[in-house]
Parts: sequence; C-alpha cells; structure tokens
Amino acid sequence: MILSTLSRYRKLLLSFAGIALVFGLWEAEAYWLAATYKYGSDLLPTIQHVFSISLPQMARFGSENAKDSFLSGIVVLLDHSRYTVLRLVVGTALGAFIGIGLGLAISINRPIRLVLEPPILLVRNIPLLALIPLFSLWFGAQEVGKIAYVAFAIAVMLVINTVQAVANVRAIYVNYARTLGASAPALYRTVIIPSILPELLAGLKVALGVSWAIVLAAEFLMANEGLGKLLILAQTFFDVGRMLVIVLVFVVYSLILNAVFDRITRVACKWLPATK
Amino acid sequence: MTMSSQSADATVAAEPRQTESAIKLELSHVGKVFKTERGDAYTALDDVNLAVQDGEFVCVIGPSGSGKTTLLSVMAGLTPATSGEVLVDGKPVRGPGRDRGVVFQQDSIFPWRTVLRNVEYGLEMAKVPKDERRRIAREHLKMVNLDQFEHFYPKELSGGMKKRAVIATVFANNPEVLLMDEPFGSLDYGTKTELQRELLGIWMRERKTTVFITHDVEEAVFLADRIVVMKLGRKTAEIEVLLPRPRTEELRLSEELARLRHRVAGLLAGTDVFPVVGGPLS
Repeated sequence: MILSTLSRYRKLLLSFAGIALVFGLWEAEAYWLAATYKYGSDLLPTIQHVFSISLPQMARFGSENAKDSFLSGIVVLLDHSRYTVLRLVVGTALGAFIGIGLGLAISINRPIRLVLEPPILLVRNIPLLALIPLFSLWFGAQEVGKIAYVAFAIAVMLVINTVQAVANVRAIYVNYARTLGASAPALYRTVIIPSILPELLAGLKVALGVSWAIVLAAEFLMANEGLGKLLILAQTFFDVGRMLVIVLVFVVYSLILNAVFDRITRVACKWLPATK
Repeated sequence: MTMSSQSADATVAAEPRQTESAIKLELSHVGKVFKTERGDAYTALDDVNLAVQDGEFVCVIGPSGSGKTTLLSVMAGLTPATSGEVLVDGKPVRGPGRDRGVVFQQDSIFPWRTVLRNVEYGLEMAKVPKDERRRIAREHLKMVNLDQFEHFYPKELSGGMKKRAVIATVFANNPEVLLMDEPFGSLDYGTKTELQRELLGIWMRERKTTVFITHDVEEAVFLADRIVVMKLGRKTAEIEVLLPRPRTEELRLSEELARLRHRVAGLLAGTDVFPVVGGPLS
C-alpha cells in the first residue's frame, strides 16, 4: 500500500519533471535566440511574453479598438472556441455514429462485406485534406460543410476500425453464446458489441486526436471564425506569441477531452483485465 | 506390457451396458473431412458410431489429433459433419442449440458480464422473466459454491472459479445433453479433482446425459460409466466402467481404479488386443 502510493507520487513527479523540461528548453531557446539574432525574440518569444503580452493581445482579434487585457483576451479565445469545439464534437459524434454503424452493418455477413469493403478502402485512401475544397463546394462553406467534413473523416477512420474489431471477436464467445441459444440479432447485441467496445473506444480516442487536426484544417481553409481562423490571423501578423497562445489552448482542450474520454472508457470497460 | 490378463476383471466389460434406457444421443456413421491449406483432404473423423443412453456419462479419450474435439464440435452442431448424422432424441442436429450445453476447453465465460449475469445468459436468451432467471442462476451458483461471487467480473476469478461459473451457466440452461471438451485440462491437479467431484455431485442430482472429452486416463476412469477410445479419427475401443457411485477420493486411489486405468492406458498405447466396436484397432 505504502509502496504503491509512493510510486504513484513518484510517477506524478516524474511526469511533471518531463513537462518542466520542455518549458525549460523553450525558455532557454527563447533567451538564446533573443541574444543571438536581431529578430530572435519574434521567432520564439519567452513563456513570460506569451502569457503577459500575447494573451491580452488576443483581445485585438475581438474588435478593432479593444484594449489589451487578460479578460478580453480570454473572452475572444472562448468566443472562437465555441465554434471549433462545436464543430469537433458534433462532427465526431456524427462520424462515430455513421462509421461504427456502417462497420457493424458490413460485418453482418461475408457477401455484404465483400461488396462494401473495397469502396470503403478506396475512399479511405483519398488524402483527407484533398477533400476540403470539395466539401466546401458540396456543402457550402457554412457550418454544415465543416461538420460534414469532420464527420466524414471520423467515419472513414472508424468504419475500418469497427470491421477489424468485429473480425477480432474471439470465436469461442460466439460459439458459446450460440450453444446457449443466442439468435443472430441477440449475438450482435450481447456478444459482438460488448466485446468490441474496448477496441471501438480505443479507435475513437485516436479519431478524437486526429479530429483536432481535421477541424483545424477545415478552419484554415473555409472559416471566418474559430481557433483555426485565429491561428491564420495571428500568422498574417507574424505574431508567434499569439500563435503559441492558440496552440496552448488546443493543448488544454485536447487534454480535457482526453481525460473525459479516459474516464468514460474506464467505466464502460471496467470488466477488462488490467494490462500494464 | 499386455493387459489381456485382466480382461476378465469384474470392473471391465467389453460390451456396451445392458440397461434398457432410451438412447439420448446417437452418432450414426459420422465422418468429417477437412480441406488442408494445400488442398488435400484430411479425415478427422471416420465412420464414428456411438449411442449414449439417457443419463449416461461417457468419456471420450484419445491422444491429440485423434479427432475427439472435432467429434464434440460436430455433436454441438458447431462443425457440420461431412457424412452421417448426430441425433438427439431421434432428431437430427442441424446446428448449435440450447438442448446441448457445451463446456469448452478454453475460457468461454463472457468477461464483460458479472458471474451472475453470465449464469443468466442462456435463460435470458430463452426470454425467461428476470426474477425467475435470477432465482435459477443463484441456485446454480450455489451448486458450484460461487454464491459469494455473483457480482464479481471474470477477471477477478481464478481459472477454477471461471470453469465453475461456466458449468453453472450450462446447467442453469437445462440442456438435454451436456458436452464437455477437456474442461479441466488447464487446471492444477487439486483444483481438477475438486471440480471432478463437484461435477459428479451435480451430475448425480440432475442425471444429464454427458459426453466428456479428455486425454487424462485417470479423469476418464473416475468420471465415466463408459469410456470410448479414439485414435486417428476412429473409435477403437469401448470399456464399461462399473465402479460404484458416488465416486470418492478413496476410490480414486483404489486398486480397482488403478487396474482400469492401466487397461485404458494400454488401449491408448495400442498394446492391448481388445474386442473392438466400430472399427479396427490401429
């Protein structure tokens, strides 16, 4: 008991050390650049600069003549976050629903699988970024286009994941259920879906990670608001400090989403033997 | 070493037993030919005939590759026979069904269900009302001494406990025939003998017709009314086991059982000349 709490404390400490190391390197690099080159501090501002100057400057993206302040800087960030997070969450949920549903449908039997798998593999091999202009043409550059794009990207990822997961279900569970009298629909409900759940959630976690990149890409190319748009704006001003603020905001959101997702996974898969 | 000197032993009889009970499970000229990856035909089962009486406990013993697991899979309806047929109460088997409960060699217990919900599974599939199936499941958990563990997940159980839970599940589903494929093969000796006694205890109460696959000579002799010896896909011998029931640990260590064990071991080794039912000795 004492041993395990000690080691947990130690683990936490080591994780913090890793993060501190990254920030330390950043800070050292920033000072070195500033001391060595004329525009060094523009290439990589110090952490202190990012928080005390760049963050308040975010207010300027809100309205032309806003005064720089922490509060209005954060308000602007939150305001644009709304769009990005909404696109991400709605797009991912929709994509997961379609992808997993399609994956389960394909796995019903071999003929269906043989017909549907090749076109899906074909679509999966299209570089996702190549489709952004097409989606903005087909669905308009409005909300629908961006959400549809995220949903599409997530769906193509998860459909393969689901088919694979169903194929990996141990035959012994299926056989056991059948000898206990399970019908085909009951088999899906009581064996296939629960046993693929851990793999589905793992796939969804990867998809969620990618979905930040997807929504960002969509906002780069077809948005008037959102964190991706802010990043492009900051870039046009050559303001690395504000770009870093947005990157850090992404990191924070991503961490929160991951933590929430891990908790859901832990509850849903509490039956799973621990693997270390 | 020849065992023929013991063929007159009181505990051994060459003929199937004479009781006049009904045939529960019948295998008639069952054959199974697999296609290998190279495209060759491989005969896993060759004209196997077997009639299991209602309430009888039959052990099928054979070395690995003798086709005994394939035989069980065919009886379960999970593997279709290439020739012949399997009959339960005279009706041909067309696929798996709840009339034949199967305890597999590997862990088949559903890890995502608690022990209680595992035992309820078959009843749930049969749409037995919740209260009723809970009651039946609890009853069977008590039978295998797992009543303290109903809310445990399988990951929290030992190998022996998982096997017990599966046995409870299969019995709770009240099958006509019980098929067991080396269920205790992976357990240590103590757990194995304990589970054998428990299984016999439940079997004595419910008198399910049972086919039990094993490669363990002692296990076969301790459990069975009749032992079927298989080799290379063929039934090569049948031995009646007339040891008294209930079978106890004293009996396990008895001379009678030891003699029988030697006889079966001899048959497995192919050193005995013994009246053969259903095929030539190899």
